[in-house]
Amino acid sequence: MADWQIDLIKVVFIWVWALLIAVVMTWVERRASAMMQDRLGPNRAGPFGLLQPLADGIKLFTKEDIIPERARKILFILGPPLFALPAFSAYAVVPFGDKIVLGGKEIILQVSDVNIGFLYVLALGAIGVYGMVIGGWASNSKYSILGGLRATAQLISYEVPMGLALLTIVLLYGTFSLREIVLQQQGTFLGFLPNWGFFKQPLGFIIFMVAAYAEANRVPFDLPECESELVTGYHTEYGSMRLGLYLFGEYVNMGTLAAITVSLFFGGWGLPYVDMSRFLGPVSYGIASFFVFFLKQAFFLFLFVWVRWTVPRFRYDQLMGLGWKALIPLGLINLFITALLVQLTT
Amino acid sequence: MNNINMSFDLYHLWQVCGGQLILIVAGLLLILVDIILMEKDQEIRGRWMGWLTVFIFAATIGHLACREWDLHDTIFMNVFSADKYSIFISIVMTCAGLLAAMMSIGYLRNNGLVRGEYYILLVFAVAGAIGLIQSVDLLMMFITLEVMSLAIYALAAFLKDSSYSQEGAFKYFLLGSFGSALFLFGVAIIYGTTGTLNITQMAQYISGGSYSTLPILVAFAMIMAGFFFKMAMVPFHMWTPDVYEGAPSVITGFMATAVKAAAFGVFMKVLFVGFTPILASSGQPDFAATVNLSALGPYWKPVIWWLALLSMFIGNLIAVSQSNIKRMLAYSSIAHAGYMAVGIIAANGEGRMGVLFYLFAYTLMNIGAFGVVYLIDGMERKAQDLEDYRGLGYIYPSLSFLLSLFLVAMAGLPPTAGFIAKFYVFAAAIKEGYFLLAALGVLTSVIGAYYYLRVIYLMYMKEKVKDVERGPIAAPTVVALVIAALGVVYLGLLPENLASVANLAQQSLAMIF
Amino acid sequence: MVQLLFFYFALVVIGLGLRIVTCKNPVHSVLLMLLLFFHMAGLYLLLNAEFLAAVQVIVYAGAILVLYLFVLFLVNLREEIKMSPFVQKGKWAGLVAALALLITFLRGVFNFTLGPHGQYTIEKVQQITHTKAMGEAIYTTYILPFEIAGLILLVAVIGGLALAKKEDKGA
Repeated sequence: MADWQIDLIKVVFIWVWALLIAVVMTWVERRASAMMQDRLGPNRAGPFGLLQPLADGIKLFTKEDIIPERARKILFILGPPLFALPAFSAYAVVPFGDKIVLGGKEIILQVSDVNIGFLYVLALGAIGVYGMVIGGWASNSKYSILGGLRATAQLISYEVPMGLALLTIVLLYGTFSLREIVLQQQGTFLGFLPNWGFFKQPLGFIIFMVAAYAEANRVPFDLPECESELVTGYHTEYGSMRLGLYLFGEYVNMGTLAAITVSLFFGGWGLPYVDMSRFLGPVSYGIASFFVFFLKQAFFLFLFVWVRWTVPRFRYDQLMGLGWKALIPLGLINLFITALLVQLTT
Repeated sequence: MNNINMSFDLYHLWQVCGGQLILIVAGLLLILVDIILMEKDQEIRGRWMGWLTVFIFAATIGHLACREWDLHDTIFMNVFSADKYSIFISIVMTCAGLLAAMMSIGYLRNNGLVRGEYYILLVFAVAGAIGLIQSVDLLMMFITLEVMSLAIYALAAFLKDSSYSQEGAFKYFLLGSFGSALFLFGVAIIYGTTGTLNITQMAQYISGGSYSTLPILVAFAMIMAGFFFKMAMVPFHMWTPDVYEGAPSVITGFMATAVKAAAFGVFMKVLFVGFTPILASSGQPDFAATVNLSALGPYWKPVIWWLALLSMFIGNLIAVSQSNIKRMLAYSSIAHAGYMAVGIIAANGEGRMGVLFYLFAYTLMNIGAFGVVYLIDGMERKAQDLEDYRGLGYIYPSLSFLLSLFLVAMAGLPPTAGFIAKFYVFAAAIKEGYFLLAALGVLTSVIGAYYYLRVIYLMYMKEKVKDVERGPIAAPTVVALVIAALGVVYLGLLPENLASVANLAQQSLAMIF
Repeated sequence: MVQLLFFYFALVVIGLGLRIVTCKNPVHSVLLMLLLFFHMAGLYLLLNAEFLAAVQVIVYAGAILVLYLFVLFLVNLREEIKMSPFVQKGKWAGLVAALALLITFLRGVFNFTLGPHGQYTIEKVQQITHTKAMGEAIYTTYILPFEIAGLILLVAVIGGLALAKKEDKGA
């Protein structure tokens, strides 16, 4: 197989994988919330209601596509894809497994190992907000524009602590490449802990996680949507598949963030204490590493759902206060301490 | 290159950039002081911040004059130089800051806007200006220019309720950014062709033969244009009247002196070190080839010749028809830029010395004039029309006397510093054979004398038509005004001391490497 | 191929720049500017400056432009601006001056000869990666300009604060 064919397969695979996660997540979200609230949730379509997302999709596709009369047409149409596409594209640098040897050819399980790896992720995350903002503005409705306004302020406020938390990781591992960061996390730390970023950077991890929830617009930071006060905010005026794309993009975004969390803080595809490559064949090792990665990612995806149905929403001033008065100073202190430790130990 | 030490050394940094360091650290401390005083009464807060700022500037002048003046160790990390030339202009600018800070204590109280940020910005503006004048690296020049400019933009807009202030500051910001962009474009071309940002290395490189190629000439023109914006020379003077009129009076005085001193100083540094054979006179074999750079003379001399002429004529002629005194002084500052440019075009030691002397003298008289203007104003814009000055000579005799003194100095009449300063620059121009320019310059100062003396005429010879109530006079303002007035008279009677110091300073320009 | 890409990016950057200035609706201007920043990032990528490209997108597109949008939304201009031009008289003089400036620039640029190289050649940058090369340059040779650039930000923050903060009347 030529290189471009392998790349193509990887791209298609990751695309399908991302889609699949997003689709299944809509189901998980509803079932899990039902479970937590002592309800049943969707259980009619297919076994355990597993076909519910499919039914929802058909419903969204076949609904009438309405563009409000006073809306700015081109931007209104542009909004949803602009929101969903960056989320998908971020998957390109996620190392979803170690490597697989097929026909004597070593294939790295990552679409592209660019050496600015997670700067690329950050950049795409920053672009994603334009989908919300443009959609909110183009709708020409008060709720939407307020939602867009909140999205801008929230994104800017939480991009800074996120960047600070990620900088500590760069300091620790000396690279931006996600694959190299994962490779450096194998083995043990202090003799008994897995050599994960989480154990070296607990504070960084917490800051990152909080910021990630804000970036993904998830409860407790879903102020741009905020059903009860803003009537779902920036996508109030959207319907049919355009709305579907927004909702979908949100789940893809969660998938990306979970994958980044796993790669940066939880050793990526590696199992703690066990080196799988020693007793697995080259092909089965690749597959196994993918599954390990997937399991870890699944846990963080579930965490998103778990938090959503247990924690109430912040007030807007609390959100800003948390971002600027707590997370940024903490992030700076953490960065300073890390820099000091790195300087002293190397 | 000789003596270029690329390693970072704190002690060395302190030696070379002590003045800047004092100001930057003090500025940071002022922020803390402002926070500590947040709960206190406005009166106490304003007084503390003001006096601290005055103290900081005084300490900086002391440090510059006593410690850095005799330094032989010039270059730090290829970007800053501590030569007598830079230190001289740094002292001029810090003096402007000192006088402005002293007047601000009263000014802010009169206008009811006692704010700590004002002093912090003032300190950072002077820090940026000193950095600008000390830098020998074009990139550093751009950065420090921006530090200074940003602080000044904010200060110019400080009267938040006045639309004049807002409009002026906005124009200043837009056109200033345009000027910076031109400068940056020139620097980019220079970096591309010579591979260096240091002006001495640049001179060394382009004297090797590429000095008359088009890219270098275009870059040269862009850099000049960028500085002309800040100097308020004629085709680039459009912002001056609006900004000077709208900005708080004390800040206008500061802008017209410190910013002008910084722009002229750094312009002369770039021009003479980078584009003329001055380095060849240092006797260093490395720079022997810079003799070639005299070939650039026919390119820049006619440009400055015309700009100097236009500045003198347009500045003085338009000033005649102004009815607002701040606007009138703004046009007069354009004209003064023209006079200083006459000293630059002479391109000899006397000319440079004359410009340095002129900058110092102009700082004293201009800040002094704006100080009186603010006192007579009471509250900003209450009494700025020339008509308001009718008959003031008998109501406020001492203020009127001081203003008359400063205006006479600006008109260039003996026995004041203004006369000596003009004499030096014109004498230098005549020595180099620029008779026509010097003659026209003298002619324009006659026009200038008309509108300066008209104010004095209004004050003493006319009946008052309007009740003008000056604001309360603060003690530090009086001190500042008296210092400025004494300085103007002293320099007019005994100019030799400052002239010899300025001469030492301009000689050190050949030793920047 | 590289040249083709360069010309594509450069032309789009210039075209978008003109469009941004002439655009009547400020929100459209900002969105076009977003597009412009992506093409700038593309130019950086052509120069092997992938770190700069990413930072260009993160900082300019991700933070600064979002702030512009934020302000525009707060101002909430429903109507498109129908302001008369900044300078009404002397339109032709302005055009002549602009053309003269353009010709000066172009003559300077077309006669451009590249000067001596520094220590960072293309091969070296590719070998040690652009991020590292830039870090080394910034934190050693250009440490002082870098530090003072921080002062610019500080001054801008204080200035912005001084102008935007509400007056605290009385004590």
